[in-house]
Amino acid sequence: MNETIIKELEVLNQIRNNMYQREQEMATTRTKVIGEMQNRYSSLLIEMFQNVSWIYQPTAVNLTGAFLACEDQTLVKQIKIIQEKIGLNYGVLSPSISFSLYWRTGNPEMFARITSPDANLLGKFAKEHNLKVDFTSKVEELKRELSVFGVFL
Amino acid sequence: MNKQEAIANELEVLNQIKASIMDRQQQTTATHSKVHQEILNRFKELMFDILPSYSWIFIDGHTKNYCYLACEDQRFVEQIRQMLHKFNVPESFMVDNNISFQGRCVNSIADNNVRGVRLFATDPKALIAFAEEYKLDVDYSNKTKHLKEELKLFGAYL
Repeated sequence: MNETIIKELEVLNQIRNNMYQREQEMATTRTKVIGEMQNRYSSLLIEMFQNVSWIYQPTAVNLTGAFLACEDQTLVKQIKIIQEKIGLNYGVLSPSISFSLYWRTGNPEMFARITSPDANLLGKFAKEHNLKVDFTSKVEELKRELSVFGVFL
Repeated sequence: MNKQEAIANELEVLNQIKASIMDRQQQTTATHSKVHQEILNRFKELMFDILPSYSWIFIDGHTKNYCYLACEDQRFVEQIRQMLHKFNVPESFMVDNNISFQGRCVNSIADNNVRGVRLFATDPKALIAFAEEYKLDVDYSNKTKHLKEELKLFGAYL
């Protein structure tokens, strides 16, 4: 067998192994940095959320999920700028509470939306971070549910 | 500077770090790919040196859409297996535009159960030209047998 080629192959193989290792290390660092960015992004969002008003909305009647909506276009604009800068468009505010900008059907303006599959957790989150929330729709929802049992408020 | 500005600044710095890591990742991946290709080229070179030392059998595919040269010499099979493993080369790869190498085949020759290697092609002319170029020791009797079968269809008996 050609010994020169074998030697070259051994060296190239070693280089490739080192590169593979470096790629793995870089991928790990990148994941850590993105995780850190997610944390900072969430903190920034929560800070920004405190200056605007939110409306509570159940996801659908009789479902346990709910979301808080904010139509404030100044907030939406600021978040859009941040998202474009850092390349993150989805915020994880806690394990079961997420944030994103959404469009309403037929409305060209976006709105800010904090969503949770658990309405109680969302309420706790709003209280913990002193968010200004209008729970009118929650009361309406409760009225609708109670009317099923013959109670009319 | 308020809290929001401070966090926004941190985010910008982190974003720059992320961009720089991605840039380095892309460069490393490109170099990795080049090194891998270089390994494959060297491996082929090494393999071409060894191919003429062993005997090959020309096999026509049953569907006639493919053909291959098979080698069942277990010294070669084992040597190739070790080299593929040592240099982390895939078991199958393209030798050139028309021919692929298959480094681990059971039933390397139809109707037997022996592990072997194949040089595989869809165009018999390309495969024969390759065998001639690298001066391979090829047994074409199977092809002759096949040709005889085909000629029988036209009433010619050899």
